[in-house]
Amino acid sequence: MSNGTILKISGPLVVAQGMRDANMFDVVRVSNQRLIGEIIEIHDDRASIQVYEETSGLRPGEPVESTGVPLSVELGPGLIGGIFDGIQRPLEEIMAVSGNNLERGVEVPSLNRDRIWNFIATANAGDTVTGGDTLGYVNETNIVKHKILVPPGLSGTLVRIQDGEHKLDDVIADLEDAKGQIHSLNLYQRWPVRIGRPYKKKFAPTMPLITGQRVIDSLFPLAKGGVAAIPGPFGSGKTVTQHQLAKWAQADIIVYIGCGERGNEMTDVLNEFPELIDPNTGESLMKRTVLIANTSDMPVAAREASIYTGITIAEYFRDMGFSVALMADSTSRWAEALREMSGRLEEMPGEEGYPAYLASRLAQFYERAGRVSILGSEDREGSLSAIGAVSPPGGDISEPVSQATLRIVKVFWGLDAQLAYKRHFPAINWLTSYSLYSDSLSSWFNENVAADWNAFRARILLILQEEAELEEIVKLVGMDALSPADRLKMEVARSIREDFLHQLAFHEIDTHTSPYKQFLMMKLILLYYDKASGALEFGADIENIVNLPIREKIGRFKYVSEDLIREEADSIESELVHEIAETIEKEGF
Amino acid sequence: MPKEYRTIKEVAGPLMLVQSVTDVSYNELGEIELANGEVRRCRVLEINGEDALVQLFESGAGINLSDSKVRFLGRQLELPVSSDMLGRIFDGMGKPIDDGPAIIPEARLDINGTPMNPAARNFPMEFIQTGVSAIDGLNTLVRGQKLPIFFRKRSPARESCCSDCSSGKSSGYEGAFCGCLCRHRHHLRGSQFLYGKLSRDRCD
Repeated sequence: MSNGTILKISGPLVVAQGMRDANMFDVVRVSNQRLIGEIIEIHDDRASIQVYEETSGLRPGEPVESTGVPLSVELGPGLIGGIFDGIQRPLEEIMAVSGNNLERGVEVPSLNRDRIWNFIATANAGDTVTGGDTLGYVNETNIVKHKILVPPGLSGTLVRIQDGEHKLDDVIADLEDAKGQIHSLNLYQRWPVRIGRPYKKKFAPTMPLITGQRVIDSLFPLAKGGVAAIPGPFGSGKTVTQHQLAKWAQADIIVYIGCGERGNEMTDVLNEFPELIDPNTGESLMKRTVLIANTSDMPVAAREASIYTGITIAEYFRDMGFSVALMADSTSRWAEALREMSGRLEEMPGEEGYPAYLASRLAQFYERAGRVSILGSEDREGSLSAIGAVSPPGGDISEPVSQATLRIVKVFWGLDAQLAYKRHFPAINWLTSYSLYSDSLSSWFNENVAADWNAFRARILLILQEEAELEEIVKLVGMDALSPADRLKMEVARSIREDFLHQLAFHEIDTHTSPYKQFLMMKLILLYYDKASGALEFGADIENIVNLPIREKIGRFKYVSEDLIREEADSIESELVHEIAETIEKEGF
Repeated sequence: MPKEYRTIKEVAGPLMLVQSVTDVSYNELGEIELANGEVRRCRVLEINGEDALVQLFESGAGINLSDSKVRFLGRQLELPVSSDMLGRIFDGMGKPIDDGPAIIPEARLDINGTPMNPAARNFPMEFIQTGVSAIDGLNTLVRGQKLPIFFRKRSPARESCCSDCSSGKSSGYEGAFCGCLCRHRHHLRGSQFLYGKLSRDRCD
């Protein structure tokens, strides 16, 4: 413990003297108002502190008290469905204390201490346990079985374990380690946010994170444990895409970090998620979601911490064996917070004023994602996938945050203002986007969805690329100059864009598409292409082929509800074959 | 009576360094008294031990290092507010500039405010009718929304802002619809125009 006094105040940066005994990254209480801060630099007995609250009114000489522990989050029952700020203060409960605005120096525990949880023990007294082992569980919501784990680093024999109704602070088990020391375990544990929670080993990502978004799952899939970036100019639908992923991604837990974005967007999540039903569990989406909010009007320093807070919570759920997806919207705002603090610290600025360590900090964050073998005596698996939105100013991804992000992530969903302007949503550009997981995931799709999946995917991508080349020609000489085969290709590409890639987030059925339905959609479009090409070879007229009535049905297939798709696809298929045959006959060949 | 300092060390552009200050807080409001008795406002931008870096709200012209005095007022930049402020014109520091009487404050509010708790927000979904078809029909205004209007030189920004303000109404919302206009770096003619136009328009 170390007690010093304020020497210098410059915005969110406070320098205190008399802090020789403090540790780096310790949490400190600054001034008589006890504002929360974190030590980020120590020179001699002077510590630079980033303060997570507004510093107006502080004066030199006021006390600074170190708590002796690094910035940590509380991990235990009560996280799910909660909304926290960047340093895990519960916003709902702060609202009860200080009203609609966030007052300074409010002290509320992160997790509710009064709530009673029914703890069901699965370990027994006398068991030998190690860090990461399950002691028991709490049914936090109908769908989340919150496992109570032995904190990493502890191991020994359980002396006592107690079932039943407990508050968070109650001791539920005593553990005797090898030295004979007794550790009392609560329903919650603490973990410093800047240190990744340990795991046994990392696996190669071989399973996709199904998102229900066609352009993502079919063309640019994300692996469980993978990292993706969504850069795009404002207005191109980053936030809607992130929300869609948060809603429909097949993950057990969603951590959504609203980092420096509009307050109204967080409200949108808060309003909408409780009402939306997860198609996999039939329960409200909020029952698997944790929200971290540091909106643009909240203090900058806490924004820097918010993504670490979020990913630590995500890792905690990963350690229970869940598949967790984390969304950060947006990492650009986070990088700007880093830049602001770095400027106040008078550090040497790097590119565009961002600190020189921007790339390594971003990498540290994204590298905490992965599919891993989790700690514990048994071999179990958990995954943490991270999806970061990047908002490059002016949509130009040559700026440092986008570039540093692209070096790390393996999936790039490039949002395109032009597509958004044409009302093509999700505005993910199929020519610039890529997924480096597509090869390692191909066997999963072939085995679990349909054997032709990858062949179809490759053909779809090829047609879209050829369309872009043909468009150049059309611009020069017009559509009429194209050969019938090329016109058909253009038509099919249009069908892929409009009937398949375009997906309406606000349509009840279209908002989410199962992989099998995606497969059927690709199949129908490609079947039409093959049959129509065949008919052209027989000399059928391109106009008739393009205007077949069945094409309307292919286009509307995305609105067919999931339980009817097989019959509908079969009927479209037979009608298609029939109509093509009729066309050929009519032409008299 | 607050302490007066005659320890101005440097003035550079809108920044001023005052030395050997004690008991000054970050963001505190101050006053500079020039040799001729003129008083200008300033604000503490950074404190480093006994040095305070101060931001001038007005010009630095005429400030003399040895003859000017600085006082710190022990409070932050606050605005006296009252419902009588409706219909009045103020300068950037909140002083009335319409020859009317001073405002008798009902409260003094910190102009920096405090951030809103995201959990306390309601999603904006109430329509504001402006009567301008290009706005109502295509790019609807919603209550609780922030909305910048971007404009180029010589475009009728003043007129369009004005018509939004004067005819805004929101269905299902009881109570007054108050307009607050801020103009930066614009000639006085602008606010006179607005004042004239708004007082002619009947508020419905």
